[in-house]
Amino acid sequence: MNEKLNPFHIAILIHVVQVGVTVFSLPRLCAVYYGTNGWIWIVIIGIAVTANIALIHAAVKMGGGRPLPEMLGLFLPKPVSGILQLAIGCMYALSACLTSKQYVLMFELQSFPATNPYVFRAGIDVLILCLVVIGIYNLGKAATIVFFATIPFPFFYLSLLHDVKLVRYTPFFLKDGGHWVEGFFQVFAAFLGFELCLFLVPYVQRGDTRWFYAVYAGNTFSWFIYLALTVLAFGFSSFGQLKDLLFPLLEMAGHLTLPVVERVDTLMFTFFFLMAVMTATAYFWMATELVTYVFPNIRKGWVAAFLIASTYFVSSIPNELSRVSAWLQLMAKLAIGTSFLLPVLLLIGMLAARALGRVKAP
Amino acid sequence: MRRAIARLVRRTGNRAGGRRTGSFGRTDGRRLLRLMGRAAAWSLPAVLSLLLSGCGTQADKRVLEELGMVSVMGFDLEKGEASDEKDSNRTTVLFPVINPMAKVEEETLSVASNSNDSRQRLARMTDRKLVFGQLRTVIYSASIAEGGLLDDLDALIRDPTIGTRVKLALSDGNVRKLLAFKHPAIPRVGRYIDLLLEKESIHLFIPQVNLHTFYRDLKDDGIDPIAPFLNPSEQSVRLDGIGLFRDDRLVGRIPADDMPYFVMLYSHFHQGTLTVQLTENEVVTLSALRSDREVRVRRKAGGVPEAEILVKLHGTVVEHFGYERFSTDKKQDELKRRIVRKVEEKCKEQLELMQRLRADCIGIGQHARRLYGYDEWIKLDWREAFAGMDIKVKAELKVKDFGIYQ
Amino acid sequence: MARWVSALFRKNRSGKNDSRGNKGNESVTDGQGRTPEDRRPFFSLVRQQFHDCHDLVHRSYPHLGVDLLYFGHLVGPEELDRDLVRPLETVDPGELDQLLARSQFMRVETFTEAVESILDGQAVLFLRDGKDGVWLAQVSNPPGRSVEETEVEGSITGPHDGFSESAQLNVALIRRRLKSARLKAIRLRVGELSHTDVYVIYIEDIANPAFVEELISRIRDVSIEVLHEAHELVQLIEDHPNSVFPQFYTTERPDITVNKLSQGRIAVVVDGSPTVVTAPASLMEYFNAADDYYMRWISATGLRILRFIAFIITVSFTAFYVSITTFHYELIPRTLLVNLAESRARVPFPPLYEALFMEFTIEMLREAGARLPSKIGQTIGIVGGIVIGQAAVQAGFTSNILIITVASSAIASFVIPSYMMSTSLRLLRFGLILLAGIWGNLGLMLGFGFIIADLSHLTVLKSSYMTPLAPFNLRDWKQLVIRGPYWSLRERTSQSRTRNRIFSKMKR
Repeated sequence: MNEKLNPFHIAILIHVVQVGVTVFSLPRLCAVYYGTNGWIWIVIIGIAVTANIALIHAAVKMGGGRPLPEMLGLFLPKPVSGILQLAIGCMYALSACLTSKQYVLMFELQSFPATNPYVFRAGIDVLILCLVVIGIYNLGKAATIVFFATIPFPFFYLSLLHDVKLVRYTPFFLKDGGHWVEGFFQVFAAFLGFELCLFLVPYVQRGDTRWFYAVYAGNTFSWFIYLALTVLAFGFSSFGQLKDLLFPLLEMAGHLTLPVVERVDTLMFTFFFLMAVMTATAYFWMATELVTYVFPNIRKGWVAAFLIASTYFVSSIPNELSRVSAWLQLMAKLAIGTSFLLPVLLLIGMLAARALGRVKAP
Repeated sequence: MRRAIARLVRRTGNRAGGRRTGSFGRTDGRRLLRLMGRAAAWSLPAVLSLLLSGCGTQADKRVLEELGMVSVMGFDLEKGEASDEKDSNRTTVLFPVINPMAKVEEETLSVASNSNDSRQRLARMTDRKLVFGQLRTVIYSASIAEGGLLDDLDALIRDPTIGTRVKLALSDGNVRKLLAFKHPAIPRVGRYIDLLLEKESIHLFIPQVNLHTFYRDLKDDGIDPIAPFLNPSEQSVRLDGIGLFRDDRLVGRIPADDMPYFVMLYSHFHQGTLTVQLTENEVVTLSALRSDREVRVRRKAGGVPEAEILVKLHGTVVEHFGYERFSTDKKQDELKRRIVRKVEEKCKEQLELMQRLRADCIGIGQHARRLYGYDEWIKLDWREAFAGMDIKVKAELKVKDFGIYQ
Repeated sequence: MARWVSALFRKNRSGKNDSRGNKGNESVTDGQGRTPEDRRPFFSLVRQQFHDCHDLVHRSYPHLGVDLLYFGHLVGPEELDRDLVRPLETVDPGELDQLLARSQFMRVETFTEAVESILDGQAVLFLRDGKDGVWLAQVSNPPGRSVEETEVEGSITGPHDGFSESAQLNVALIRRRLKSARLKAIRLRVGELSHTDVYVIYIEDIANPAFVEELISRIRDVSIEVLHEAHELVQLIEDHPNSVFPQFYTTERPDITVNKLSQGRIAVVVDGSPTVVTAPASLMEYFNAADDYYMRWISATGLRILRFIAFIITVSFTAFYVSITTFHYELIPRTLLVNLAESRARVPFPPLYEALFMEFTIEMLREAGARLPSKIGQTIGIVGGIVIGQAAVQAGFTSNILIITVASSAIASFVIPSYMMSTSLRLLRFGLILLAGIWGNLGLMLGFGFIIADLSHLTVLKSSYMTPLAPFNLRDWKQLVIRGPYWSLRERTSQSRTRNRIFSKMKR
């Protein structure tokens, strides 16, 4: 009866998909690439992300409610748009697989150092397949459940406020950093996930254009959490320490105490599993949508299964945390490029289509 | 609506064949899910045997009762006996014994090696699987600390199974002997040490020092790390002062009696007891002591920095020896003044010690940073500046009450 | 295999033919397999239909030319006497027509109707001697249980009457609480052989007509031979019969049913079953007990929160124990560490097997307790629970901390008011224990992930099962998640999609 996504759930979906494993290394990235008080750049990058979303918003409005592949088909010849969609789909699928692999490797760091990740990844991939197959509307419902289950955790960090000393922030701004461009890509990668909104177009209420504000809301919420946690980290650990720690937020969580459980950071990371799975699922879903559009005769379930299985094997190639991170960074750069260039392409293409008369101006 | 329902009810016979049950809910991959279910059912025997054999995680099984969960780890430096023998590091680990019928409650293992294979050697000495996830304290001997702790700490910090809340302590003597300390009132010295350090850090006569704080202050160029000393005596193991580090080397210490003054300068504490020796015969004890500090730095005309530390104390006087009754306000004020003077004197002593050692353990540098531009700060040798600085200590004392006896 | 591959490239086909070629659930075949629905109800034919039914009573009044057919055990003796026997014995043959014109007699036109009426327990009256006419008198009063309190869903405060097996009685219990002509009851018959009465009950302007139609059409599409019980019907009309979770809410209490009806939900009463089904249902409903509505709202909210915690405990506590003793020792608090380790030290099995063994034992005890008569059952419960548990610990089979874990899981599962839901949760618990035992905390979260995936795609009559969590509706939380004070409950819950939202106009 109700197959359309509600704006509330869209906001939650975007937020849950955005928050991935990168958030734990965010303070280190800011410290290494931007220097002292590097958290300021999160504000700036957040603005860039919002601008990107606005770009997508414009493209979607221009498209007048058409789904992405249809828009591409309006101004690109069939084979070109097909190849483009397949390429983007493969990239998303590979990113998703690498994200889940990185989560597994990080988890194994703490608790399962000797296990081969293929075992866990197989299990997680089955779960991801189940989640992709239930459709985006039900995925939104699952994201809501996950959101409510994990929302207390960022607030736990507030209990560490008493250990934050203002002097640790140093009065110097953005010194001892250096690589701003590289840093831009790295930090932006933490915000990736909002491009899901481009694919939600066929699943929202027709005629209701306000749903995009939900995307902005979800993104702003993630942005706020990132900023707050990074600022906290900069005050909790000294600058030099931040540069050395691989996952500063995880280390900070190690200082949380609960009377019943010892290592709250392990527990928190365990609950984070749901968030990471949602991110990977959303990307697989986007990839499935793209591929299904190109091959409409194959059922979605099989497409998803094929994508998940094939990326499973491809991503078996890097097997160390550093190599997986390197691959992920590459994928992130591609994804960032796509998220900027694709809406631009759509905008130009739609204008061209209008000029060519293939589409009527509203 | 009534008509629709009436139509439904009246309708005789139904659609051909009747709908197959279970096809009312729609999902995209309904058939895939059914297929998966069927595949799962058919492969159940294979899957079950795979599952029960651990499914790849056998290597990481850490079943609780088979573990030796190390709670305290200690490091000693043993000089080589012959002149050309290298110094070796002695590692001692302490873990509780999981055997209700055992006579001892904790077991100590110790091994010396000059290559970094202590853990492997230790593993060969016990039937338990040694794990470090429940490690709570690490103790270094003073000789290792004097040589620089960074390399030793590196292994601990890198290990993801060891949390960063592991407490750090030093010891003057032999750590192995410390961990083997036996006393009828202290059946488990590991637990004792752990509780001692935690309790004291709550009462804050030493601040809480763990791997995180040590590394944090080490990497911060405006402050130097500290660590407490634990030494055995005949009756117990006690806190015996605070070690001062310059970078990662131990360069000096604050004696046990002067610890409160150091902490007053270092940070704040909530609930302490302080005994001040005013003169030869007069001793005053303050209890329920809260202290807070404020650091003000400023640069004088020539660019030289100077600082003032304001220590605010707040407590109750509970004991005094050798002093007349102080029932009048005037007498109380005078007592307070004398206490304040003594506190300032003692604090200044600690500061001078730190300045002599060129170890800014209280973090004046962190505050002084804002007086300099970034390039200036980088070029500056803060420790020298700190050594030459003029630091004043001012104390304020508010006494809540003088007890219930006039 | 080839079929699968070719299926890859074929699109979805809609509805296949049922292999049985069955056509319906209303027609009765006569001896030759014909289904003439408009055949005339001749006495001999009807009599012959019931050959070898020796419990059929045939009374004739030759002086009147009247034959009566009825099942002696299905008719109510009083009604029979009052409506049939006495009038027939006192009437003159000439006045028979006038008698038959009275209100208690209804004409029977078709053969099917005659047979069905007899099967229903009515008495059918045939005229002989060339006179045309078959009448029926409503004298049915089949034996059944009277109104008693239900054992499964008792309440401490609140009414103590519960449904029984007679559909008429159940509908009566509902009607006496909702005295409105807008309370509609649609009668359907399900089951070829059983012709079970199924009443679909709803309040006309409150329930959403689309739901009602959907429900009715699904019930009509059920083509089985015998419908035993409401739970069987539920599983035949569910959206997702393969899911672990129950999708229609079932209850044995009239007050809960009336509550649901006034919320805009639809109730289904099945004859022969003391359970009444309501639709659409949501997950949160299974955590609402009857007493919640009668207590003060703060206490009721506290109890509800207790139930949610109990839900988490019953599903994950034992699994968590298994995962931390097998893989994640670092999560154990220091004070508990040695204690836990020592209690585990005596046990020869790894924690996974130990936990499965104990859970299995508890399940066996539970099943055994359900089979035994209540007097013995209680003893076994105590014996099993206390003695066996204690003995197991002393023999070194299990650790005492595990006993506490398993016992609190079991107790927590009884806190959940709905028996169907707690049975589903028992199954989930085993799955989670297994996953936790092989993959530790990651396995546990994987299990939760599967549960979330399952819950998310469940629909009831195509409305979401996870309302009001998803789709999110904060107003509904007042009624489903906590129990808000009555002065603040003004609108019906959103899942029923009613057009008439306000139900309380009271000013505070």
